[in-house]
Amino acid sequence: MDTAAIIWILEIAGASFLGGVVGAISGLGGGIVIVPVLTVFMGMPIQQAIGASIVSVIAVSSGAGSVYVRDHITNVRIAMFLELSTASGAILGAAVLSRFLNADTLKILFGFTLLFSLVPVLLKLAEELPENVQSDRLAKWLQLQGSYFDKRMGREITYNAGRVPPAMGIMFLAGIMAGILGIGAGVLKVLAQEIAMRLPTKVATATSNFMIGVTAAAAAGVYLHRGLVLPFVVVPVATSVLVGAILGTKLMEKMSNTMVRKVFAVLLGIIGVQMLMGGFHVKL
Amino acid sequence: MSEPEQSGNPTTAPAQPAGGVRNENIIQDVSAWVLRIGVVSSVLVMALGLTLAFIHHPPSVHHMQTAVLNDHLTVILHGVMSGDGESIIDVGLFILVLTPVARVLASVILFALVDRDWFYTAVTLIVLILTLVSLLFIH
Repeated sequence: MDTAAIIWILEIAGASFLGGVVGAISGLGGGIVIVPVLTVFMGMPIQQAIGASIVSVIAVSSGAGSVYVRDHITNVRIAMFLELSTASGAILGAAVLSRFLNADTLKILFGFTLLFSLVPVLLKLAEELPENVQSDRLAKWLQLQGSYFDKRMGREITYNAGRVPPAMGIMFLAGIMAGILGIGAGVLKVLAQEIAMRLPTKVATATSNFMIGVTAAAAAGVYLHRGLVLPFVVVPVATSVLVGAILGTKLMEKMSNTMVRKVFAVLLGIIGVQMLMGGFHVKL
Repeated sequence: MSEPEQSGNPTTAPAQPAGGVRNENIIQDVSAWVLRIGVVSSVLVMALGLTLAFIHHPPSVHHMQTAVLNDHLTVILHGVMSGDGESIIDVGLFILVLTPVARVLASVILFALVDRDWFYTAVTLIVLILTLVSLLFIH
């Protein structure tokens, strides 16, 4: 037996396990860990790493999603309604805008947007549950309000959903980003729900987690067709990311909303910096 | 820990008929099961494919870094019939990619048949169509 081959698979599996844990807690999928490990440490071309990342996002979204949906932390109506914006944006991005927009410019704009959006997240870092949130008319008509049982607090949390139109705008942008770059949609999805709609953080990350699988499946066609999905890479990625994601759901359900927001804030900063570095071609 | 009751939020759930809550639960339970069955079966099929690939002819690191997924269904089916590990991995990958799509399809059916909520049926149907168009036609 070729030990080099086994070690190679185990390295991918280790990074994917960690990606699954972090991805399930933050609602961002596993790419944040998997892409840097595959490219920087294992020398894989970025496009193939994104192909692996898309597979990981689908596995995390489905694995963690099955737990969050069963436990009613995911708001299925919010997910379905916002997916409409993302799916339209993704088609527009992939089919039309990718011909006109320069990927580097987009990464720079995206990077600055994310770093600016750190400010509102940090300002309410200590807030366990959003207060004084009124459902807007659209949210009431769409029945987006909901409730979930918080295992940490040991009680049912009822919440409203505010400012749906700006959330739809952000979700549309998330779709455009996903359609052009193949990555980065999850972070805008959490922000749309956390900053615009002011949902409890756990609901925001669990609902984002539910949505990213559909966006990733839509983007998968391009990567499959262009031969950017490597079968021997995706097996360790999908299996370990799934195990990590299930562990991630157990951790997240027992965390406070402030703790989940802290995890998200750290990743938000990292992704913002990564995007800027990518856009300006700065390499570590 | 913050104040337990939020002043601006209603303390009771929004007025909803009892049937609505039960239907909501059916949609959630079915979505959860579709996701679970899809992701677990795809991972099992992939693991089987990887095991077979290693048993038949252990791939080198170079082969694993360069082997590309075959997206011709006839080639994959032929490979599966002959017990080719790589083709079986490809099948697992297709199951995985189709899992979120199956979840959306299940939502369309449930919003229509169980909830009779035509607005959400239309929303999920459009999402399903847009997703399939990107998956199949944008290359």
